[in-house]
Amino acid sequence: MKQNLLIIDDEDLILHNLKYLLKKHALTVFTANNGKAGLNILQKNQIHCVICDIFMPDLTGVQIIKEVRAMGNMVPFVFFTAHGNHDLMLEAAKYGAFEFINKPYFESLEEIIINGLREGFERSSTSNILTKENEYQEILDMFLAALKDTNVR
Amino acid sequence: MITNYLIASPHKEWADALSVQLSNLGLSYDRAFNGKEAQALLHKNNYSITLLDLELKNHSSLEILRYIKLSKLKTVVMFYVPYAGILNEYGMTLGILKRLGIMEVLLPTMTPLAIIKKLRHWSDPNVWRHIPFDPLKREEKEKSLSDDEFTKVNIQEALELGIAAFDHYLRLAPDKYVRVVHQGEPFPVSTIQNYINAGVEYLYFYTSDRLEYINLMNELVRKMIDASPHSDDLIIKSLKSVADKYINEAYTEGIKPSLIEEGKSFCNNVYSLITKDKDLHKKLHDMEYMIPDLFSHSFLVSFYSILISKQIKWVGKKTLESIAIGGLLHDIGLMELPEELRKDSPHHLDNDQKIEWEKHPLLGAKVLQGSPFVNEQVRQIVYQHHEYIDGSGYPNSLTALKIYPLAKIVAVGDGYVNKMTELKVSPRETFKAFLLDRTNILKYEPNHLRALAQSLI
Ligand SMILES: [Fe+2]
Ligand SMILES: [Fe+2]
Repeated sequence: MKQNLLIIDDEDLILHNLKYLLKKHALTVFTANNGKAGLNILQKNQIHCVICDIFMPDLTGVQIIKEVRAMGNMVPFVFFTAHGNHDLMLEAAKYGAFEFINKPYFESLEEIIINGLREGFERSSTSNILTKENEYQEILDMFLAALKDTNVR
Repeated sequence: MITNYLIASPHKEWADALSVQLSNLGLSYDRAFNGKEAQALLHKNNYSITLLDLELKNHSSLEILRYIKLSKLKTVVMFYVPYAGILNEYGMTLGILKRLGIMEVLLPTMTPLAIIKKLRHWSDPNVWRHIPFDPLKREEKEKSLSDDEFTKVNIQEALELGIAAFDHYLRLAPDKYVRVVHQGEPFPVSTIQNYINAGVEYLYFYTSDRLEYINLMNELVRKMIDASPHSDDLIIKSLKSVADKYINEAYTEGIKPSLIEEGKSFCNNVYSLITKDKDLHKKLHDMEYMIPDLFSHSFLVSFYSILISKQIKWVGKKTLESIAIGGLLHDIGLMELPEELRKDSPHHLDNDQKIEWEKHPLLGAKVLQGSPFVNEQVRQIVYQHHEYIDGSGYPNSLTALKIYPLAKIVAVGDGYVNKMTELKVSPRETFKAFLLDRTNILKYEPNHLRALAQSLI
């Protein structure tokens, strides 16, 4: 099951490379080289994960995530950050950032994007059968049962 | 001249008599009158023999013994039993003492010279060779045992322990083991040296044996603490790794030894990584010496956050590292607050103080902005470690979907460790209490609690 990814970055080279690198993990990889274009794509398509540069000349990553949340959209955001963007990151955190990737170290990029897409898919589908109460009871029962076993041994 | 013997005893007359004879023979020794002094001396010096009076107070003899064993100090331990009834009082027998690796039990009826004879015997570096004991000749044939039940230990480290607290085996093939040393006996140095030369890297022991040993030790120490009125804790800098020092066995009882080792070594690795940053090193150093409780709390939170993460599928290696560092540094912002506010929890603070205290996540994130060894993931863990999924946290009252996933894991570790420190019970008992506390149902993700449960069973 593949999901849709959106990459927003003002550097076209990055867009191009990331799209090439990540296309095997997504059904469609959308790209936008500015915030407005990105928001446009988000309005028209079901996106499961957004990769977004935090610092861009028109809209910053913070302004973009703020808009998206105002639309009632909880899609996971993965931010590209660099040294010097610290205060923007603390601001972005208030709107719910899913992950952070420190430019130029893209080492765990793929792992993070796979997680982001999965999380985005779970958020868009409401299949939570267990209520939280039940789940806690289940954990407690499992734990107590396991303890009994080890005590007997 | 090398100091050879440590005499730790509150019985002045007895120790004086022994000291006089040692001096007469030109042998050097140190004296300690309580457990704290003994531990400080053991930390500083190497002793071939440590003589522990069973009636030692303020760090009991068993606590010192535990310190010696956990620190892997190479010293032969002898116990002085000042009167026969005391063994009973502490619920001990000579058999138990032997199982704990006590080489000699000294009685008040022995003259100083008789005692010195024993000391000399055991401090002879060649004494191991004189022991009429060749495990391979005496030993049974190989056995078919299951790999699952064994834990491996580096052969060199095992050798350094001197005496085997439990049986150790050599692994010949999958599920095939042969016992090379019995519980309570010294490791046969030359035989083991031969194995090492032959390229053997590990010895094996039954995982359950070690747990049993630790439990026995813990239980005896507990009994002794109950029986003696004062026993303060003293943080002694030891030669061990920092994680060993601050994550002691009471906090990990019941967890699989392999998980414990892995978690601790992870803590050590990330600690040495981040302390390459001079400023950060200084901050952590200040924390260790000014607020040891908070320093130990930080290691425990890191340790438990690692355990939880290990059970979560989507956590990769790099992420795990960030979680470990985030755990270590989560409360670093407290060091920016006035001294009276530097506590791991805000209980007993008045309202104004609480408001100040609750600034520590932001202060921590700010402090870490300058460090090249700390990435954004770590800063966000620090910034969000007091956010709870029901929105009751701070600084931003974020709810489930908005909290940074890694921060949620460290928040569980933090909450759990605080519970353990508060209740002073075993990790499992703590978990039960933690889960039965209904407010935790609202604050933490069920998946993370399940992961914690799994690492405790
Ligand atoms: Fe905290
Ligand atoms: Fe904490």
